[in-house]
Amino acid sequence: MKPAVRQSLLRIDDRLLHGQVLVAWAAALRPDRIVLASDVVAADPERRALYETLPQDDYEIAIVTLSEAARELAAPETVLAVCGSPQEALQVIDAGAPLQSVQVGGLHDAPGKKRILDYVHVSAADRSAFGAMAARGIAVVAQDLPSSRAHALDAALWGGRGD
Amino acid sequence: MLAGVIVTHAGLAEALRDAALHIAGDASNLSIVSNDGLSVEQLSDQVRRVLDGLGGTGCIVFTDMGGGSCATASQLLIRGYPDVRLVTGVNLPMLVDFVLRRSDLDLDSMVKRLLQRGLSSIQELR
Repeated sequence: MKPAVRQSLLRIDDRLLHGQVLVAWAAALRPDRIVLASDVVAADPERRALYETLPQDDYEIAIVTLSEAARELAAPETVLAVCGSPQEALQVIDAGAPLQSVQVGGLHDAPGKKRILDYVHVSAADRSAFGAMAARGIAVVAQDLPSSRAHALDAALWGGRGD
Repeated sequence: MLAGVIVTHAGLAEALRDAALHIAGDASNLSIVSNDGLSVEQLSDQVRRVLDGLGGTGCIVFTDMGGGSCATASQLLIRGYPDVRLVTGVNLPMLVDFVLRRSDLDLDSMVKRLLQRGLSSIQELR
């Protein structure tokens, strides 16, 4: 079953490449490549090796810096790209990734973060990065799985009053 | 005796341990960790706490899906533990075999055996 539109996707997920991405989203999107966008992982041979040898046969996995990820997302191929934080997503966007939306797939709880959804917890720095995306006309949409509901995260949600 | 830690998505670890107990009659020294709601860091911390609390002659960490957060977090973590090994694709025959044989096999032989057992347990029956 192929989706009607195969469009490249940038997902923000602090677990980076994991089951939801490699299995569920890859099956829904059928990307030409799965891209892990992280300056930290790209520069760390041990963590690179971990992701390069993930036990899956269906997709090429590219581990790239944030600026290389912008080029990947501008390519004509369908790319499923994942980065670890809103700040890194903003860097990918500012490096020229032509995106109309970003997906928030998982931001876990930590001290000082506010819960937006079960799988989305945001810090002040996260909120300002989302604000900068909104200012560039980029929609921020939370969705953990292809089968689950998409939630538009707008200023009222992530900037508004506390719970 | 070798210890085991089952690290999986959702409630699978608990269910696997229950099922192993049901069949093998023993689930001692078998710890469980779920990734539910945890960041990779928090998950690593939980597995680390379990590993640091273990005695015995070695330990096998069982995870469900290679490439999942449970396997990735565990793989990075166990590099600091010479007597801990990681096996993905945990299934019930593999786990039951581990419980039944872990007093008489060393870590290397056990890993070899579990890989064979896990694979050979997957068959089409007609």
